Amino acid sequence: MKPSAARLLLLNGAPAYRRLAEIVAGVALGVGMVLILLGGFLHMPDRDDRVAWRTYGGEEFARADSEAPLPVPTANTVLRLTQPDYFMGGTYTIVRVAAADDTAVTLPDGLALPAPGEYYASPAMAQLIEDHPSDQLGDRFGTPIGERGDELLQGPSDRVVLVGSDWEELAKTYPTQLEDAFPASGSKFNTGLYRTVLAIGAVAVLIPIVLLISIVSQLGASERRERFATVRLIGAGRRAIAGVSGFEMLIATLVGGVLGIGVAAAIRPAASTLELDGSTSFGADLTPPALWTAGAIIAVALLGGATAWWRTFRDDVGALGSSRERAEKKVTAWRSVMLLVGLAMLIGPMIAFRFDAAASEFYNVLMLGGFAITAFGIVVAGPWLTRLASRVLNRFASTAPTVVAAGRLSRHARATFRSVAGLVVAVFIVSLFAGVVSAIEDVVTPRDTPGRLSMDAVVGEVGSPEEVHAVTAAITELEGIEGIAVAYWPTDDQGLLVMTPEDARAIGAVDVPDAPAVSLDLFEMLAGGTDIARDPVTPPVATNSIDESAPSQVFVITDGTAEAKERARTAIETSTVPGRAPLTRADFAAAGTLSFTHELETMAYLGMAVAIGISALSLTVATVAAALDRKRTFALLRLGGMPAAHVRRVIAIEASMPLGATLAASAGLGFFVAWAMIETLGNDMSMTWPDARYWWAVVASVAITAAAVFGSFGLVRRSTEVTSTRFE
Amino acid sequence: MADIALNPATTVPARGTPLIRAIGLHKSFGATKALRGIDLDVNQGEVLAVMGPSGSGKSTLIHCLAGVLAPEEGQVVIGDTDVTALNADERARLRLERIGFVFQFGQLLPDLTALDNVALPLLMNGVGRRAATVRARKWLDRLDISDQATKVPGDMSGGQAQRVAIARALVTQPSVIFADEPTGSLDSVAGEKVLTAMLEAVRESNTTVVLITHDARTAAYADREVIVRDGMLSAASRGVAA
Repeated sequence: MKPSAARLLLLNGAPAYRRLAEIVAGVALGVGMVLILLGGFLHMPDRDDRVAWRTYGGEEFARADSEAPLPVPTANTVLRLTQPDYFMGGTYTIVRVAAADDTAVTLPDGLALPAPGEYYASPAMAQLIEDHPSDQLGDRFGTPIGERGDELLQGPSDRVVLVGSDWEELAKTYPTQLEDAFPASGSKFNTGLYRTVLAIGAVAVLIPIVLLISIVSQLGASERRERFATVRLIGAGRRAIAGVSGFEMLIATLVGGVLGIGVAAAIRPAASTLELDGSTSFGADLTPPALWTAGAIIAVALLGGATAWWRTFRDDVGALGSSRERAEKKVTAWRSVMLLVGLAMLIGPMIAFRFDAAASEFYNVLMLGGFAITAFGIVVAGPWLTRLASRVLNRFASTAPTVVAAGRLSRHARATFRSVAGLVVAVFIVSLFAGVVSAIEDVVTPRDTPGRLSMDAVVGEVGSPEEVHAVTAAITELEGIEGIAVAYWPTDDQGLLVMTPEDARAIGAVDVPDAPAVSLDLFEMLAGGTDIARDPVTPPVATNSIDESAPSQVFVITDGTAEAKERARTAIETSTVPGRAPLTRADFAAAGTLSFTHELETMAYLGMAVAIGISALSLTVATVAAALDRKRTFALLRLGGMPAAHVRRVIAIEASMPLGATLAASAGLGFFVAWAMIETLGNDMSMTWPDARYWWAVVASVAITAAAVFGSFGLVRRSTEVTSTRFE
Repeated sequence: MADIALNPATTVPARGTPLIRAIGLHKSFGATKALRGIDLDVNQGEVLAVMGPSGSGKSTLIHCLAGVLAPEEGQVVIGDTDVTALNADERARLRLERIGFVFQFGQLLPDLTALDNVALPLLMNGVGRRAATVRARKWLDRLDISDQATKVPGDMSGGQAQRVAIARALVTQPSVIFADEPTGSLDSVAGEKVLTAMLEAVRESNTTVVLITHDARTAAYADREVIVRDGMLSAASRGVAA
């Protein structure tokens, strides 16, 4: 087709510019998100490499209590001990290093190692230290000598302290490692999972973009039906029309893609603040290289062009236009079969489990399959469910707008569902996730439970009676400290720690027998992050004696305030040789599954937010396209006296009914699947209400849709003005 | 013969009392003068055909009569209501309650059944769904298309769809119907059947009809015809004393 003819087809004034502006805005938003996710995916290994110096490598060596000799300091070796530590409910990393005075080993950034008693802190950690009294945090590390650069950190919020230690003291501590150089690269065990999630997220964002392009192409075809028909009449083929539409979309998505770089730059600061693998991100870690950026934009543009081409090709405006409405192929109840199979695969194991709990491996497989089939089943059954809902609406409709809207929805169930399909899947998955997370949180969030370790106690390792004395001395003058208890290594081979009955009661044990000493299972008392949290605690057992020369753990009982717990922790850390960080039951739970679960949850909510935004846009465009398809009819109805408010109500119902119905259905199904999984596999877990973020996401989806629909009223009103029928 | 502007109200004996009275209507679109001082009376129960070439001002005339367009000069009175004194919302209300429209292509809502299409104006008027459906079904019966009640327009023939459109126009029992080329999209046989059905229905209910048509055979069904040329009524109008 000649450029002049194509131009005639493409540029039909304000509607064309508005439509192109919509597609450019939608694609820019989507590409912005894709670029952020792509950057995160590509730079995950870089994040790992930057923390390799404190994570990998090193040689295990035999300990002092074995016969092997301790390593001696040389110019080419260094000892390193990396451990998590806790502060005010959060964690940070403490890296202890020891080296000879003349060591040639340096950190990957070229700086010298700190001497014993000195420390470097990351900027986030330095800020944390500065913001709190030293007896709560700063005293744990010694004298600050500076901050570490970004090249040694996972991200800006990475909280790490590099503490210089005494060689001999560190050599005796398990699991210190002997290094001859700090590793410059490595891959963490969970990087693959994060990269998978990011890759799925990037692809998932493309789905609503394609839907948007498809719907906007339909809108374009509706707006230009007469033009297309005229050009067909004078000899243009179906492919030529589709080619023009595809080319138009290719250019629009290309422009949107380029603007997406700006969107990515605008949202990157906010995206950087989200925690990924325990830390926020540097902007550079969310920025893909130029070649990848160009590739992503070109790929989206080609996808956009191809989608528009196919949509217009299928729309097939003939030489005589479309004087008759082309009805969709009728959707039937057969579409619900896959959904029903999926639900049966979830319900079946749930019932069978009550009779035979032994086959849980089989149930796992069945339920995972059931989840996948249910997710696909929702998409397949969606148009049928939409039609069903619209027929119910029509059955009870009593006003003109409701009858008109229900008729439209019933006859265009596929197109209607298409505009909300992305959101339906997102809401289903997020609801499922929110349900499962609520159950996990219910279990792993520690509470003061009789028999378990008191929530007010801080427990630390001790290696000698001198250390017990040192801790006792250190806490004597501290505010908020109520007492101290000590557990000793057993004198028999039972393996359980031994305490006095008084100390056992002080740390929370119940049913403590009156005996010279009692043995108890400290891990059982501490557990808060595993399934055994709900199991009953084994009461302490009477035993004969305590070997006071072999203390194992010291418990500092506080008044329960966070400040007192941190003071106790600092006192234990500064009075004992480096070992496992002192912790509370809450710290133990946080170190378990909660933080990872919350990160995944946040990513799921973000995915839902993107799906909501783009689905709302798609839904609005689809609704406007549907209104424009009937522009002449609506205008003539208005000419016949139909108030403009009725037309607005039609638009509002056509947009809100499918969204409301599908939101409710997919959320309900998501929670049902979560409940089924928890009932079958949850080991006595029970689902509770999802947290506030879930409800905010739902409210946001409704608000965004409402705003988008209200925004379209002006266009619909203008296009159905009675004066627009003057040439009818 | 040169065209002469006439005032039919003063030259044609009224068969009934005037329902619509247009006095000195002027309407322009930019530099184009669409109506140039038209005076016209249409009596109660009368079927008036408005003829004229394309661009002569026929549609503008009925749009002004129906209160769709506001004339720059002149007055339109329907019954005892001065249409030109009403605002847009009041004119819309007047159209909804007292006027029916039939268009060339029917312009039914494609997603609604024939029954719902006919019931729609009643629903817009606040009639309940059940009552509206009963009345709509009666009109489908009356126009001999009750077998099409559950079909959507796409599944009907042009003639059947146009009968549904006529039923929709009549269901509210309006005082006047404006029909713009109601048989223009139909073949002559179907057109004649539709027209006969419409005129039978309106004559039974003593409804006034203003019918725009290019077709002399269609105009012949009317009680009277006027010809619009260059925004004025022509002297060649039938039933008019020149």
